[in-house]
Amino acid sequence: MIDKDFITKNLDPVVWSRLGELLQLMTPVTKKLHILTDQDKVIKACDTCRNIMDINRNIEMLNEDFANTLFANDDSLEEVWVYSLDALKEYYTVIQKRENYECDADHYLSYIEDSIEQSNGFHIFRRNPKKQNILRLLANKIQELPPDSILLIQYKQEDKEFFHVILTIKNSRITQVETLDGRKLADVEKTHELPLYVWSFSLDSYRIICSNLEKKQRL
Amino acid sequence: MFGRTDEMIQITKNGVCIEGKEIPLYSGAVHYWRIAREHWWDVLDCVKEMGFRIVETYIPWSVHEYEEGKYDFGDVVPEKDLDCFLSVCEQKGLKILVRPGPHINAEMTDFGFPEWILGDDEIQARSPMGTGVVYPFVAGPFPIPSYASKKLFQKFTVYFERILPILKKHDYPDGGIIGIQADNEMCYFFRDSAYTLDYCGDAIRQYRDMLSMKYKGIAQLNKVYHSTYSGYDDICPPTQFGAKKKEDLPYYLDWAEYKEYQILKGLAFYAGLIKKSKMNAFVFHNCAYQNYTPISLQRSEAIPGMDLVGIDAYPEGWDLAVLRERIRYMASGSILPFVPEFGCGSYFDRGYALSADQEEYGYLYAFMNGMKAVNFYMLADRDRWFACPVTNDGKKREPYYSMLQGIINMLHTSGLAEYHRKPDVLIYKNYGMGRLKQIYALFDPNQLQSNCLMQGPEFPRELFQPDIDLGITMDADLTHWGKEVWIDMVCNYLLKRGIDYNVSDQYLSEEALMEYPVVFASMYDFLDEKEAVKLDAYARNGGMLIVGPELPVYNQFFQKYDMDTSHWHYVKDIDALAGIIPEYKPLYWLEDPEIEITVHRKSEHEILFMANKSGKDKAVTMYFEGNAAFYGLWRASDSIADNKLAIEIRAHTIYIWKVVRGRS
Repeated sequence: MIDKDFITKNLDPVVWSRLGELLQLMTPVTKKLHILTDQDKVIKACDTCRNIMDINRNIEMLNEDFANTLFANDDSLEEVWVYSLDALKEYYTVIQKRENYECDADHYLSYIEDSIEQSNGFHIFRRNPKKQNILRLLANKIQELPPDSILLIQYKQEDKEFFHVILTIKNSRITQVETLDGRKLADVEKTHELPLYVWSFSLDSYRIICSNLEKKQRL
Repeated sequence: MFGRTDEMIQITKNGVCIEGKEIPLYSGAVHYWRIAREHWWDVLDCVKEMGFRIVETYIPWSVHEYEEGKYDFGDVVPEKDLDCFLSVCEQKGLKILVRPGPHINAEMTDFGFPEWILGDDEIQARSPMGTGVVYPFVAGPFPIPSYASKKLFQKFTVYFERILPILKKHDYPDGGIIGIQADNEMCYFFRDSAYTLDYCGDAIRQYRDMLSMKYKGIAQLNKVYHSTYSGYDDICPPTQFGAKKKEDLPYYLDWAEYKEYQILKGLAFYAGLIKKSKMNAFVFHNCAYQNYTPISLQRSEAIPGMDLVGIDAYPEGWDLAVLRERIRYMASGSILPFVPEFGCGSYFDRGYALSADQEEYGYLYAFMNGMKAVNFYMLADRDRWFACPVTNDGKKREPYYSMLQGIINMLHTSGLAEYHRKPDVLIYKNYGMGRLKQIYALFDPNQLQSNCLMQGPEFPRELFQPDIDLGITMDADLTHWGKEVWIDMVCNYLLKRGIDYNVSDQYLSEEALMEYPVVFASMYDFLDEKEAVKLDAYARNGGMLIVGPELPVYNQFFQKYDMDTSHWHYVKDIDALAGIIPEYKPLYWLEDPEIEITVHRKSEHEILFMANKSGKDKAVTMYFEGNAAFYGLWRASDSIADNKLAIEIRAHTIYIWKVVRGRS
């Protein structure tokens, strides 16, 4: 979905500086507890806030009930990952194989996320269903568009624009990323001569409300 | 002058001396192949109008050798006309720094390496599992190449020889090129932990060569390792920490040392390649961010053929603690404290850009702390970069443009490059403890993240720290091997009291060490014998050596070693510091730990920096002895005062004055 030779241009410093904040809103960093095991015992447990935890349990007891107890005891804890060193090494062996070097970044990101779920020796417990990564969401949306088109994604906060990005899509791949940076949308559209689609969101008290994709009439 | 005394271009403590004329090294980056050719002139006009006399550019391998053996220098794509771009710079009267790689980064696909290079098994670095090591970049994942790969050296040499006629044509004095960079940010592509890579064939051969040179005989190695190897070929590098006691450590520490060695050898190759070309331009390198293993600025700068090494800086907002340490580290150890990439604008996948006020604060704070030379990266917007002072089509972007123009103008008119900050105190970090903390891991997972768009699974480093009692004391902060609890404690103590200091480590020369009346050196149970001799000589020759949190009792091989520490001052914790350090009376002082003051001197002249590190505007009184005239250079106004001066200083700003003492 992301062309390896994609270019960016006309990135407005104010608008584009909100990208990080937006991504944090869409996929907030969550607290995870990692439990490293060996044979039948826990070697170490550490959460993503760097707290070491003492978990004195047999590996068979590291199950869903145990995870639910942890979730009940810590409101901020979202996930519990249990795995052995061997499983981790096997995971890295798989995801770093030669055949992966050619993939698109979004595909690779989804692949390394999915591989962990499917790897032997990994047990992942979640409080809530896993959120899709932003690139996968975008890839799915682009599949709904004609292969050659422009997609304007915009986020509004109390009717004021918070962020926007204009993606040029050719052969269903993102080839250009830009913002208006002082230009009019009509002018940008004219330079591309491709159908323009708009995908808009509103940021409402840290919730993101997504609208349907709509085709914009030619300006 | 340093090093290249017989050369036409020399590095000095103030900048670059070209045929006897010294100019400050203030430059900025412009990427010709990413700017429409018709805009080159306008962009460079803006650069010049900002006050720059030097411009810098990469020359990416993947751009010019687009297929193996097929080159484009403007015949196919006009923007790739390197010769023309260099000519335009010269027509504008600009000197030039060039960076031909092979590593470029610059947010380029494959970091500027040609695809067929990275796809070659003989070039790729290897993980402990034998796979390649993936860098998950948003333009596509790619396998990290090895700095030990002989094939990479061969292939790059072919490319370099192809661009060399263009470089030589523009080499000073025939052209404007005054500096050329040997490779770029060598730090294993930011995968600098011990066991993530490099287990490729060339690396393992090089590792054994290093052991052979270090031990000069397998018997000596066996004695240190408590092993029975019959030859160096029997030795395989560690893929995880497996020591059970301190005597097992040399085998693992040698791996950390090898990872440093691989970088130094790779860098020596690229510096040597440039040197062989007999260009007049000076040779430089940029470390990415580390002032700890596997990087050493001093060792890199000591490589034959290398003239100058700096460390890049991309500060984050108002928090400048990291920048402070980095600049003060360079200020103690480099020929010319140089930031070869100082963030100007931002990479597109950072998630944000700094405001012009934040950039100003960072730049001036770096000058305040001893930066003498800088390359602003980037001056003009380009693909995958934004918020620069100049747009991609040669227009000024405010407020960035005026801010930087103002700073460059102030630097030139004040002559700051000729002024020098000279703190009395040196913080001497323990490089060996950094190595120990680095190797102390059961596994070093490759990071599956790059910037804000590629956020793959993350595994906390603490999870893999083995909790083994090795019979020695380790630094308590295991979050990163570049940090030390005792060092942080001392630095905080000095900062609170307004005592200026520099930062260094064991690779600082004895002569440079002697320049500091007071040295705080972090010590643990073990210390290299040579290091002990060097520090003891410093203490016996009148230096005040303050050490802690431990006193060493073992040498680098963890054998008992009787060190005479009678001239050392041992300080375990902060309470003991007050009674030991000498009474300190700065030239200027005030009672607000959120205000920092630094003085730079040139004979009897002074330039005074004052930083308000807080988020609040402040009204402060600064004290000094006698009468002084203050001439505002930056944000500050002129004043004449006796013994004290009342100043209102805005939040997160730096004010600068030229001071003339004793003039009413």
